[in-house]
Amino acid sequence: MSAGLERRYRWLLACYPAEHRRVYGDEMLGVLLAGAREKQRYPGLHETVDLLLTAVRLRVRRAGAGLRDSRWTDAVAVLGVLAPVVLLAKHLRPVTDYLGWALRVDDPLPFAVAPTGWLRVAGWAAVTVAVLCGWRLVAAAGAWAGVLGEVVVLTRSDPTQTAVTIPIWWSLALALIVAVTLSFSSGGRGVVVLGWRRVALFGAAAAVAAGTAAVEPLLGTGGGGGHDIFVFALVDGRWVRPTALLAYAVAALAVVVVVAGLAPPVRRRVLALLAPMVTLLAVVQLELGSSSGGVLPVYAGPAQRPFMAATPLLVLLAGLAVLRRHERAGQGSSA
Amino acid sequence: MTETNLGETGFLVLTALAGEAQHGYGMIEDIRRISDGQVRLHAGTLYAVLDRLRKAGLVDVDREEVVQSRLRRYYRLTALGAQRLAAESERLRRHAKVAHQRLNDTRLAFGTGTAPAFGTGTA
Repeated sequence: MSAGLERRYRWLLACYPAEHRRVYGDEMLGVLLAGAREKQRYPGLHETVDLLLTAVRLRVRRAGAGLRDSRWTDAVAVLGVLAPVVLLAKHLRPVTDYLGWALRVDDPLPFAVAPTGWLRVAGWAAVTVAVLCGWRLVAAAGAWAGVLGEVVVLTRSDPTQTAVTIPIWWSLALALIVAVTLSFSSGGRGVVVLGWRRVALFGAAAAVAAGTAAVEPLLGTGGGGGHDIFVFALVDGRWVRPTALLAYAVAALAVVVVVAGLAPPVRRRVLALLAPMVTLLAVVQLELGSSSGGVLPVYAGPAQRPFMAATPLLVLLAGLAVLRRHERAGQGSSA
Repeated sequence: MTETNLGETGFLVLTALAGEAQHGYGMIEDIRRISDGQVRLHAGTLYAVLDRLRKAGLVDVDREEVVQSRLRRYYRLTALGAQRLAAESERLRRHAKVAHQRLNDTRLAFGTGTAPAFGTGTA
């Protein structure tokens, strides 16, 4: 048998979880080489498939065991409370924007909140209430209905199906996370872990973030007249930007206080789970969404879609790797 | 480990170890003989099953050797493993007996010839 065969077996064995490799790696290599033919250079198809499938199965089993870890279940439960509030705040922004203009302009407005916008607000408000009341199944069903709704909107938003509106993508991703977390977390646990005061503080932060959409219509100068949409685009004022930034800073500070108050192992897991969404939002807001200036719908082309799908996944994997390394280092130093 | 989790592979591994302590490659070859060549285990599956059986306390490491500078570990059946294998064998024997009995009845009912002597309870 060749050294190349042993090397290739080692590559395949590298797919196994480290713990399994540590206990059985040498033995498995010995068994694989003992079963090899005289001049065999490559692993056989069946044994390759067997090795890879078993490695995947073991990893999935380990991940499942990890999710039964109370630190993970608490983190998922916390996310199940915070994420619907974030979605509600996001969908409230067009409403507060509209209400701001309605207060500012006496004439009838030339635009309105779309029916789907009102539906989103009502739906996620209902999910949030259900979460806070500990009605997990109702909340999960509502979240899955929200996911379905976003998928319907997504498929209907572009008849050619060659482009995807970026803000919908973000909403869909977060809605999916909410639906999954609510499906697997225990009802009411998130509120218990967070405590009502932190839940209220996070709700206030979300309300402030949603309210910033009304800053421009209420504080801007140069606007007025409801018959020409371009008038609104001209609205500006020296207080608009500082006020909006201040509101965002207050909201961000409140979120930091909420997350910082969690037990460190739960906090680290919440951050690892939130990181992909924050990254996706940053990509949408800072990079892909910048071309429209926030006025026109932005489309993700075929080249952007894999990037948008891969980025959160890579951030999640990186976050989990950092978490594992951090906790192993902590165990090592305390041992 | 619950009874439903043993599976055919687990049952065969326990059966292989019921005779004597064996190392991984020995078990693969033995299981092939036990199953008349029907079951050809690969290393990935074998060690996943062994890990499961060890954690359930049904098998344990008997001894370790170094052969050609490689670790060779022999596994043996534990008392719990022997008890579990006996229970599983009895369960399968009962099921097989019922299956054979019903097959015999079916053949007689359809007049497809003399039924073989299934279900004698001596398995």
